[in-house]
Amino acid sequence: MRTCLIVDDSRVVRSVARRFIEAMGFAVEEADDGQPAVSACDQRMPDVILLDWNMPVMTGIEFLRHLRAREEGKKPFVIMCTTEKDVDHIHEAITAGANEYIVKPFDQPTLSAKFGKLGPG
Amino acid sequence: MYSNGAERVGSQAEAAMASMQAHGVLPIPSNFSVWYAYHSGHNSDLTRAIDILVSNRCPIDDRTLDDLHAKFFGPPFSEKSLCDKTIRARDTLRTVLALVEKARTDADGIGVAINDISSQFLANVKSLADLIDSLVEETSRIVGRSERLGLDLKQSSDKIDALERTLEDLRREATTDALTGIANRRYFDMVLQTMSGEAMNSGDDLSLLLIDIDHFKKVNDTWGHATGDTVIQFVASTLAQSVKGQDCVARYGGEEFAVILPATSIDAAMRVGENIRTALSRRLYVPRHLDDAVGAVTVSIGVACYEPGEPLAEWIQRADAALYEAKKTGRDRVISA
Repeated sequence: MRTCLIVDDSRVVRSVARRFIEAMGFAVEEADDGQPAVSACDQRMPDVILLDWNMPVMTGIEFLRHLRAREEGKKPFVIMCTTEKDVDHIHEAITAGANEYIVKPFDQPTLSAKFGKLGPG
Repeated sequence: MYSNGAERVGSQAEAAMASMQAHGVLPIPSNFSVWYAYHSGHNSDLTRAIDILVSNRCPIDDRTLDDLHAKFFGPPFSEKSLCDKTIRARDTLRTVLALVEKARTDADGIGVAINDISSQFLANVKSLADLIDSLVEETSRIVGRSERLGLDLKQSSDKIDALERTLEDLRREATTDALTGIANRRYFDMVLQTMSGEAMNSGDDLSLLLIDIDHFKKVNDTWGHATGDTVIQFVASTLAQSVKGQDCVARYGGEEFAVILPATSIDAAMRVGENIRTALSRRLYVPRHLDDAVGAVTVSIGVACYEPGEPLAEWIQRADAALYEAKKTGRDRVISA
């Protein structure tokens, strides 16, 4: 079974995303900031990461750069998921290594469409 | 510039024009550049950014195109920095020249062979120094021209200010309703997305009111469109006065309005709706001109609270269904989804 790590400091976002992503057949882990997300990836690298931007201790973009700096191991598919929708943020996420980008609020169809870019499991 | 076959360029240019039209933006060169680049596929980062915006239903409006243009078509270097670099190169070369000359005169006692080699070297270095000198002169001229251009532009600043005000007016027109001055449908869509994104993050309540003027067709038919317009204006201004802070009032359709209430529960939203209904039914009347019975012009209101994760269209649909229920059960009332 493929795994997905949800990284977001909002309890509501994590709970909605968990519901949608489990329905797509993924095993879900959660982290409420960039730092615990690093630990989670150290323990077991997920196949997909749904990544928020603005978090108190380590931001999503800092986590992403840290993640992509790793030379070895699985390269997870990263979907940036944030309220930021301007060109600067989008470009920064792409250049930092995000595979996809969702502007909040998201719903089931939007999330499915972006997860669909992963390819078959 | 891109080296394409003429036909391919033509179809890409056509596609760019079609995109500008589809998104309702001004057909100015910078907008065209962005869309042309997209359709030619030569700038993958630009293409990805636009694809992301489109897939998230974000509008590619004039402001977004300005941002895209600034990000991907900004100047690669400044003339000033080029000038600085050539000046530094010249100064370094002059220092080297002085050192070699000094070494040569110091070595005068050593031998003719060495003298020959070093004078050849000196000649090469000197011609390089002359080249750098002329480069510096040329770039100084370019910088000088730019500075004079800058002065000319400053002197036309009044014209520029006027143009900027026109652009600002155009932008405001794009987001406000001409008749009432409140937000138009386009602005409403933007605010709805922004506020629901924030509500999803915070977990706070977010409510929506859809408001429709009762029997509006009859108002227009009986008293004419001019009177109908004043009724719409009156409803709009009453709504604007009934809300506070971050609340957003928009003209949603012909005789339909929407109100977005952040940090407002369904019960509180129902109370706002009831306040609006009574404020309008108490005050809104049409002067008696004919023998037709004159009544207060009333509104029907549908209310729905956002459920994080639900598609926005579905949330609006629920409010709309509540509005329909209000109409069906007698009008002049507030119903929640």
